[in-house]
Amino acid sequence: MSKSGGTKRIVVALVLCLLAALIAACGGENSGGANPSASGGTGPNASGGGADTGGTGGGSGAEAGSGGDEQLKGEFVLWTWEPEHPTALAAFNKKYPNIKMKRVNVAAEDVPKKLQTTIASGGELPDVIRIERGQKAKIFDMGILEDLSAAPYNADTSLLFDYDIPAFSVDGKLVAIPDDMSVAGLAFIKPLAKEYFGTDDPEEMEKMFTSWDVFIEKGKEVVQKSGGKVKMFPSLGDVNDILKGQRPEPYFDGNKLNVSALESVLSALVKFRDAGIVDKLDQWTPAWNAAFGGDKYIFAECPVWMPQYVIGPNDKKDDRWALMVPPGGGIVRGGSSHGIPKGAKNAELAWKWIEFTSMSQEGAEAQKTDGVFTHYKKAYEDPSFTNWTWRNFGSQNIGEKFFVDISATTKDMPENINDTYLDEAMSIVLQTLAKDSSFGLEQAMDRIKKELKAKAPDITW
Amino acid sequence: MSVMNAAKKRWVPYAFLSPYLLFYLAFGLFPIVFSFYVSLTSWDGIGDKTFVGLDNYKFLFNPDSYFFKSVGNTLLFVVLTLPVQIALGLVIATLLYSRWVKWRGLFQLINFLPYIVTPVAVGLMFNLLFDWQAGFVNKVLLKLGLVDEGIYWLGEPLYARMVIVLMLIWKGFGYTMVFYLAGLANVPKDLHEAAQVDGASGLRTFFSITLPLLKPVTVFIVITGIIGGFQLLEEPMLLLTGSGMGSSVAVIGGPERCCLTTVWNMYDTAYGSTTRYGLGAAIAYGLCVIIAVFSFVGARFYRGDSE
Repeated sequence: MSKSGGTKRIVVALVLCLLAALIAACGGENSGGANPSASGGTGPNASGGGADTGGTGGGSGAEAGSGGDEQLKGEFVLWTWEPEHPTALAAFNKKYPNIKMKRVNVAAEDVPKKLQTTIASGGELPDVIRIERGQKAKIFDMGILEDLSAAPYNADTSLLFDYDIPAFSVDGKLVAIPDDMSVAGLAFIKPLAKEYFGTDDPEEMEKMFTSWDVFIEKGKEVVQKSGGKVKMFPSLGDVNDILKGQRPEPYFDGNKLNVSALESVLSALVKFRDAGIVDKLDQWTPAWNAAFGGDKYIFAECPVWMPQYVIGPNDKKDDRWALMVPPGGGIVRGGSSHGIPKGAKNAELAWKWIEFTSMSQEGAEAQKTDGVFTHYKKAYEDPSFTNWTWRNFGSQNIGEKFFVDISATTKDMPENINDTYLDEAMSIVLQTLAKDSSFGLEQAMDRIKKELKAKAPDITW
Repeated sequence: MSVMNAAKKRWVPYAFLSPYLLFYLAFGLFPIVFSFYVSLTSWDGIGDKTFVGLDNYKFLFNPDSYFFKSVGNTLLFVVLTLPVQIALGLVIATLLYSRWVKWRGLFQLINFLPYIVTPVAVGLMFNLLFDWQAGFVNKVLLKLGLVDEGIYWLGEPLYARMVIVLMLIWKGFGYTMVFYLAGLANVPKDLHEAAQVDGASGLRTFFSITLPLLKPVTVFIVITGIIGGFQLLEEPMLLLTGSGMGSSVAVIGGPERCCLTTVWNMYDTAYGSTTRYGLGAAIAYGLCVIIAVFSFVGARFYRGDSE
């Protein structure tokens, strides 16, 4: 009998051991303040060394540019898809020699998903996340980011451009700091402009194209003159990017859709389509990319990153393009920002890095060497800093055009999660608008309402 | 002694089974029960779950929901793809099994290769082939003068569906071929010889002897084909959204959502453009019911056949 009891005990012990191992494996790294609501109001603590950093935590951006700080020690984790910025990192490490950065590669579109699964599984969140503009509303909507304008960060918002503040705030709280400049202007092919408009001078072009109505009329003339071979834009998506960027009001106030703002953009899109001045290419397809090397389309929307990443690789010829302020002013297109999740263990170290790279003169200069123009406004007061030429644009100082002329006319609108649903619905509408000439404003609005009802029943209009 | 043995007999099997059972409980049963619970809530994966009862299931029947549209799309793909896959697989298997074909192994491999290509690669490959402006297919059609302007393959619902059907047939016929080859090997040779002696033609022998004896294989392919068809996701998703990059928004489900499959709908609802985990779980359970019905009907067929 006692032997039987022994067997039973062994079996029970074995099962319990297995169960314990299983539970331990499933639990993962659940230690630390991974719960986003756990430390909403508490200040970040530097790990390692136990340095009391309460006093330095509230430093502003202006302070970030001054002498080094060896007291701050530890490692912070960054989720990013960007390759390392070696100059910026070296400059940061010169100032903070004891802070190390650990990069974890996460694709831009996977960041929201990875955040959700990490939170749902009780895993450890990183100390800082890079947020691509396309995912911004979704991540902001999660409510997991620290208020960077409040203590202990006390971000000095005056260091950034005015249009940045509403775009990176949620309920009046600044939750991310923009990293790379992404203001966008209008690029045009000079030989085509000379042929059809009699000038290839950006300033003269700006004077000529005073409004989108003028633009459409000129476009009709181009199509007529060229026998339909030359058009103004390759894709209606490009036009939508610009018109959406210039909308006077946000598309959503909470869950309420701003119908008039949406209708004004849609009716302008219909006008562009009906004028026959825009081709039917889908953005980001091989054909759309190839269009930059051709001579079928005079204009292209042109954010700061476009010369380097799109125009340059697709157009091997030098000095063919010029940059101008679009009718109606500049827009923001793409770009990324950095935010600190609530409960991040090494939030202060992460903040020092954000502050240095995005809100200081030293950081702006180092990032420029790595090919990134930051949102540190003061840096652009120095003409030598804005000086930037690119082979496709010949000798035109596109840095000055982007950061002085276009930036001065740029607006940006706050967006919430509903904007991502609307973007998705708009992609269907744009596709249909391009291929079906009988598809008008009314049908487009009906389609959008139908799509929004399916995706987000809470939206009202 | 006998009591001790009896105790041992009772516990030992459980001890040996416990690793599997525990893993099943943790990674099999718990997710099933938990996802059912999630389907009764409204949850974005971050905030608190709000119990909403059967609201998510009710929404599946709402005309605004894409559930039945996606089920219809999936069924359409299965209906258009499976018969062609079966016919093509059967014809190729019969040819390969006949005495006229040399290098049987080589042709078998060539025909089976598409099946082992990863779905992501298949989607991207067809995306490049059927691109409106830069695609190989349009270039050939234009060169041959068959069309004046490239066909908008992936932008028109009808064409997009055609491309998907073609892609699925191309990928799947090798799989059915392998099963038919195995089935053909099991058809007794003496039946064919007897038919030959009786003066039956090759075609008659095929339809009267080979085909009826291959029925169990056909039933198996149909059942697994339907179940697999309902799980369709990667190929259409990569085909229709693969070329998008950065923050550009691709159309979920293709033009007019004509290629939105049930699993794509579930994925998009829970992890894609929205994060409605509750509704996503409800779609998953809806899909589960549909697959269960088809499996049940298929199993009845299969059983009836073997009896």
